[in-house]
Amino acid sequence: MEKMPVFVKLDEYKELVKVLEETKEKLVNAKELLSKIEELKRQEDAELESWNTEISEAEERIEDVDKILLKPEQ
Amino acid sequence: MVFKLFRKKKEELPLPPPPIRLRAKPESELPEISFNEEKSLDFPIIPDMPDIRPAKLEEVSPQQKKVKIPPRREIIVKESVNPLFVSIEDYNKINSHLSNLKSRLKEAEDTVDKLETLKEAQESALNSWMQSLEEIEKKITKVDEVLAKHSEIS
Repeated sequence: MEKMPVFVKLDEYKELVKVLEETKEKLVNAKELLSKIEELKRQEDAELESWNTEISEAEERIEDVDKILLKPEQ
Repeated sequence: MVFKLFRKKKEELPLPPPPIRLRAKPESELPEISFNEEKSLDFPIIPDMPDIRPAKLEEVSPQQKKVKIPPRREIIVKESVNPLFVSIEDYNKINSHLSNLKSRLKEAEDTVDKLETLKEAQESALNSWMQSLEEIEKKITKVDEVLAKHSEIS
């Protein structure tokens, strides 16, 4: 037996379409914000990497100074 | 006097002729019609009409032909006041998508909460890092001062 299609009545169709459009806009906005956050994160990572390198260099210099100061006088 | 007037009206007017009764003629009196008889029909003579055919069109090569594309009809969606119906399958699909979207939104909210917690921890770490740097700076200055004093003495 062939199934007959059943339909559901939508009373506030226009309102629904409007809300859907607004949601789409919000999603586009959220996507743009996520891209901005990703860019900020990349900058932050680069800055952290640079700080790490500087600390390593400072550590090496301190080690050198330490060696010099602790070296017995001849 | 009055009686005289009435007397005149009493005079009889001439009667109208009796109606003529149309009576069908008996079959014997009807003329016989023979169907096999070939009789030429007299058609009316139609006068010659003026020549209204269009003038001969100039021959144009297919390349020269410019096809006129009719302008697209704009689809205007009329604001219908009537209720709209959606098939139950589509309705179920929409419901499924909506519940999926809700759970995704919940996940996104949780992620934002986690990010905020991480941000707070990051800010705290940065503050303590700044304090450490200041302490290191002070110590290096002190070492620098001691070394400077030493060089003055020697």
